Amino acid sequence: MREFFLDARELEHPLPLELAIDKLKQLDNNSYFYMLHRKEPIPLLALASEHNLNFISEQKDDGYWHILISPNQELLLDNLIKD
Amino acid sequence: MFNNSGLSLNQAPPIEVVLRLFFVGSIFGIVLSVMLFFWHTNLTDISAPQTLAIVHTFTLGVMASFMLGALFQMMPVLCGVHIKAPIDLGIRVYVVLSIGVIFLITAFINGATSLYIFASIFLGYALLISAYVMIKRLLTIKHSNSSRGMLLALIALSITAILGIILLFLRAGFNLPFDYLAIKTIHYNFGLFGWIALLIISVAFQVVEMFYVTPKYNERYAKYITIVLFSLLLIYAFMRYLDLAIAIIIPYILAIIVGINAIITIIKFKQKKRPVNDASIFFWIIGMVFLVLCSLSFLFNLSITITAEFFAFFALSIVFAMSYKIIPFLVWFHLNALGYFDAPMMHEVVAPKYAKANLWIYLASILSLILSNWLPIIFYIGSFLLLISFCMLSLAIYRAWDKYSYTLVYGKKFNFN
Repeated sequence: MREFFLDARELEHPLPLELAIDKLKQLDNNSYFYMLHRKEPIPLLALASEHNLNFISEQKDDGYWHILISPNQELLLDNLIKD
Repeated sequence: MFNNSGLSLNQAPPIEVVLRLFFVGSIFGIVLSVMLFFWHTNLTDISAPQTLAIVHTFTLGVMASFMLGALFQMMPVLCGVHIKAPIDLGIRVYVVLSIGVIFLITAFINGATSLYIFASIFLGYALLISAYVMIKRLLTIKHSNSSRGMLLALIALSITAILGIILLFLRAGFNLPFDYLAIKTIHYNFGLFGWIALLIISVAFQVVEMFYVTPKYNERYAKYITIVLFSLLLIYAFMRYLDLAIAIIIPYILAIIVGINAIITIIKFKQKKRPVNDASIFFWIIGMVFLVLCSLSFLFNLSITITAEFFAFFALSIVFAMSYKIIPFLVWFHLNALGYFDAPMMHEVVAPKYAKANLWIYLASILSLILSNWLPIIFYIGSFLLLISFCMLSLAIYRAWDKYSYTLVYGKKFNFN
């Protein structure tokens, strides 16, 4: 399973969204997108939802959000979240 | 978890709602520049018809159009609030507001009773219906510091509009039991401090950190500052209407608060974590510098014209700052959300060099307008450069819309899965 990773914690809006969408366009059933962000990226998640992508977003104790998105509906994204 | 938030792209405002209001605002900016060019000699008399026409072209034609457009855009994004039938409401607001501003300008110049009545009906409808719809939605949510400030700013807009309508009826010759001067003072304090300054301060709590990766504002400060500002305005209104001498202190306290807030924001920009150097950040900094100057000018009782100019440059700078951030983002985001593979990137919607050129022309215009207080002939250069600035902004909005429409017709769609 190929991972497309983006650390957007110190990127200014809307650069995280711009780079994330660019990565999403490269995804297939054998890949997923992993993003770290200081905020919950609501427009990106809305877009993932509109396009029926498999996605989760979770805030860790350090305050950062972990966002995982994949076109593969079978993929258990919870298991891929890093500590 | 996002899945529980119920947000959807369908709740994002249609792009045309925001761009139409921004375009109308920029056209009124052109009208404002032309009025300044021809009428600047009357500006020292703050009650002169031409001065009133210029002030309201600025506050209603330019500022209200841009601020309502920005609210349509920001309410779903910053507050998670969905406005029902936004296209219908947006059209009603920009058409009725524009007609109302034209009636008002004509009324100030012509003085006809019927014009004042038409202006109050159209402006009252446009402003109060927008405020009502947005306030109603904002009352249903759990507030962030920004959304609370936006709610208070909209209440201040409603109060400003209602007082403005009363003033128009008094000017039209109706014998109403109100003290014209007291209402007028409360009207412009709520409009300037409550609507314009409070909204910009509230929005800054979220967008400054988000757009420019600055450290966050102190949470407690951000929570209470908007409440304090609004409460002071209410206290001022009662004191001023009862003609209590102590009321005169409150605008000075308000000026100190907004001045300190501007200094805090400038410090935040200095502490930004990444070297963001686009035009919008300079527009923001210019705006905050002029807010500090405006506060100082007010506190040290400099001429009312200079204080008003500083306030106008603060507000206009934020209009340019937000426009050059929001316009390219909206076009790019909506096209991507619709699945267009060849959607233009943000820097292709509005080229950073174009925005920077607008920044320099705008800066030259406001510096010329300030200098003209001592060298009046420069006023023609300043107002002409302001005209160019607004022409550039309206052209940027038109081109952005054109690129959006072109991609809708000729673009190729992609599928994420």
